[in-house]
Amino acid sequence: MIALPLLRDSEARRSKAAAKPSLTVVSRRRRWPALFAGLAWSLVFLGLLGAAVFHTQLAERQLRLDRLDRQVGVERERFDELRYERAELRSPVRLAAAASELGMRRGRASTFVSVTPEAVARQLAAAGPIGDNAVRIVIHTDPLDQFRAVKSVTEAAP
Amino acid sequence: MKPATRSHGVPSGSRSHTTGPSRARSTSTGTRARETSRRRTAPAPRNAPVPARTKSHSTSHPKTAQRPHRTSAGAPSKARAKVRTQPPRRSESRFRAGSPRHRLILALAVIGAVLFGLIGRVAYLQTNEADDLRSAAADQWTRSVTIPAQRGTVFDRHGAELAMSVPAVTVSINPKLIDNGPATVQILDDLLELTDDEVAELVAEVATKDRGFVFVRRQADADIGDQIAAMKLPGVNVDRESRREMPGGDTGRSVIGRANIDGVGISGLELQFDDLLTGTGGQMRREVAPGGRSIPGSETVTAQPVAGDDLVLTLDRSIQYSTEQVLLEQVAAIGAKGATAIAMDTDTGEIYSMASVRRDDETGAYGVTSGNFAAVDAYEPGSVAKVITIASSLSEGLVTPETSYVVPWRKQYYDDLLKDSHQHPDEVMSVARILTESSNIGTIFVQQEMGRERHREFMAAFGLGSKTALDFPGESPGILKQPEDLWGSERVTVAYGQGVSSTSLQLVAAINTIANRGTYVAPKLVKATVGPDGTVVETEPSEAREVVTERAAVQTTEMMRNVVCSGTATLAQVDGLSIAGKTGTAFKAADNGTYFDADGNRIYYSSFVGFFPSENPQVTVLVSVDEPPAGTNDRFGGTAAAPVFAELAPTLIHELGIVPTPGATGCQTP
Repeated sequence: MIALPLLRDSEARRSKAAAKPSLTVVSRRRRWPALFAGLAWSLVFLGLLGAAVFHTQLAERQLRLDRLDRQVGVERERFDELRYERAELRSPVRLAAAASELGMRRGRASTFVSVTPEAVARQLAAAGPIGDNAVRIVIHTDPLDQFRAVKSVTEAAP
Repeated sequence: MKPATRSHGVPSGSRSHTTGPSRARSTSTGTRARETSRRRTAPAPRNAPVPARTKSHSTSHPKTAQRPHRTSAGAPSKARAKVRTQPPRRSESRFRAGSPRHRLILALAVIGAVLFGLIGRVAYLQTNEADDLRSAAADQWTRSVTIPAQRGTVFDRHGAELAMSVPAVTVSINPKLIDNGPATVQILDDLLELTDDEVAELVAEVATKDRGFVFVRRQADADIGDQIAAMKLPGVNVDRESRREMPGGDTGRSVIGRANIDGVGISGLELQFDDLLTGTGGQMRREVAPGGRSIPGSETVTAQPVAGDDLVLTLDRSIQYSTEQVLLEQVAAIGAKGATAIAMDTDTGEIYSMASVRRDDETGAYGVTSGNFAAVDAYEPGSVAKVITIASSLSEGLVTPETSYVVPWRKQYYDDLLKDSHQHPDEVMSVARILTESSNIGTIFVQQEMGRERHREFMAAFGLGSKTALDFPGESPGILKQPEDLWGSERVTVAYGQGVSSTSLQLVAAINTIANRGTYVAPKLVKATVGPDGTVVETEPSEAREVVTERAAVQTTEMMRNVVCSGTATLAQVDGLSIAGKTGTAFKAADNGTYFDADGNRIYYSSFVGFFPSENPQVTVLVSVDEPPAGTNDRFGGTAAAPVFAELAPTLIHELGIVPTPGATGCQTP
């Protein structure tokens, strides 16, 4: 009656020992997929963030471009207005009217005078030679050249 | 009895869990339920059919649905056997026994098919019909507006603006959107200085609100437009446009012509070069609200306008102005109907000025015409054409300046008694004297040496009878008949410019041939064009051809010099400048087919053409006076037209920088 429990205990121990799992060496878990995934997510995040920033910048630059475009248009119109005013001021119609108000009249005849070398020599002796610099005080303002320069810029702009 | 609807309300998961996938179990369960139902209701025959509704109800009941476990576990009963004797109806079995997995697959398949269809449709819409749909959608909430390209500028040869477009605005209203009509009209009146009629019309429009668009003012000043736009008045629109202006007033209007209010050329060079000047319009899209109003700030330029090319003319603004003024003064002084004048570069054919003035029949005031009569109207040139006859005969070697004829003052030809301008006895005249004194009879003698056919060939070579290279809008080719078409005395009068007609443009180019040493050079009016990128493209040099020999031209020039110094054109003399020229006093054909007006007076067309310095001609000028007063001394070319030449010469000398040939004294003997 006494041995029975002992037997049962030993059986139980054996069965417990048999029930112990056998330990095996497991290969180390690979970490690079996680790293790769993390990196990929970071790249995607940064890309999306960059795209958002880029779009914002794009919109801002576009607004600035629009403003500049409008400003170019305004300045172009201003240029045309000034060009018109200058053409009016320089027109023979206005000049003749202004001259007439001053009591001037158109010359009816031309007199051609032959200047002798002696006269030229006397003039040079009195006033000295006329250098090239004296001519340069006249500012060259060819309206056509100015117009071409502006047109080449405004019309060639994208 | 429970409502039949409850059977459908049982969750499929519950049924699936309790009954299982087996059709047999389901059948036995249903059988047990039917038996239970039979016991509850009424006695019925053992094998009697059970109404489907009842069966269905009992089958789907939750409590009933749990029973198959018990039945299958311990019930070898008679009931099971009995049940097996009653096969379930096929349709009921299918409905009830549909496998959830299959149903799920079926549902997924259906959903997948629908999604696939949707995706396909989306793909189709995004590819095949994308553009159409996109544009259709855009059309609903956007409006496309054409941006007019800036019309090109017309410059003179020195870059001075003769015609240009300046910023302007169009002001319009939408009466339906205006809140306070009279106040709005009052504001517009104050700024735009509307007439009373315009104000009354606008007040009526804002009161009735019948129309959605009414013009208030077109081509108003841009500054005023900015003021109106700044007020943001509801229903008032300010749209930018451009206005064609001539900064020099009417200077050059005859040549430049006009553009209408929409910027389309309608006459002159504006018409001739309209395509070049117009450019290419752009496109702008603007979003509109449901009410149709534009949303501010939504404008998007989809295509930039490309400005038109600019024209650089050969005209000189100062010379053009002086030519017009001198003509106006002369026609006003002598009371002529009008006049034309052309100044042309001898070598290149470039036209420095081309003016046309005329008296307004209603007001009597003289002004620059918008029509270029110098190119459009053709008249019989009269004695100026003698230059062509003499030069041609000289070139052919048929005569020399010294060849002489006994010339009467009048002679019968066919049915007409033709006369010289003044009576003189029969006298020996050299060819040089014939030209100097402008003898009609003597010129006929010279032409007869050459023959009518050859004479006509020369006139055609001088450019008569065909349009010039300018191809100016409405330009006349004149009339140069074939020899066989000449009638009566026309056969000989063409020698001195009657029976043939030409424009002033043709005539100045013809006489310029003599100045240019016998080489005809076509007149030229456009010197260059300026492209959209600012590049200047020079036009081709004028066509040139030799018509008479240089020797003949020089001999003719010398004769023409005598015309100015001692002949009929002494009023064209300029001190210190040698000038060669020829006068012409032609009869002008009236509308009645004669050379007389309704009062029986002769109608004249007087001209003078000359060039200087005669030793080295640089500019050729033709002045024609239309209908100088008959019966006065002002009717001749030497008195009506030659003084204009003398008036104009100083300006030409100054502007063109012409220096007289050293040693030249004009007509004075050194």
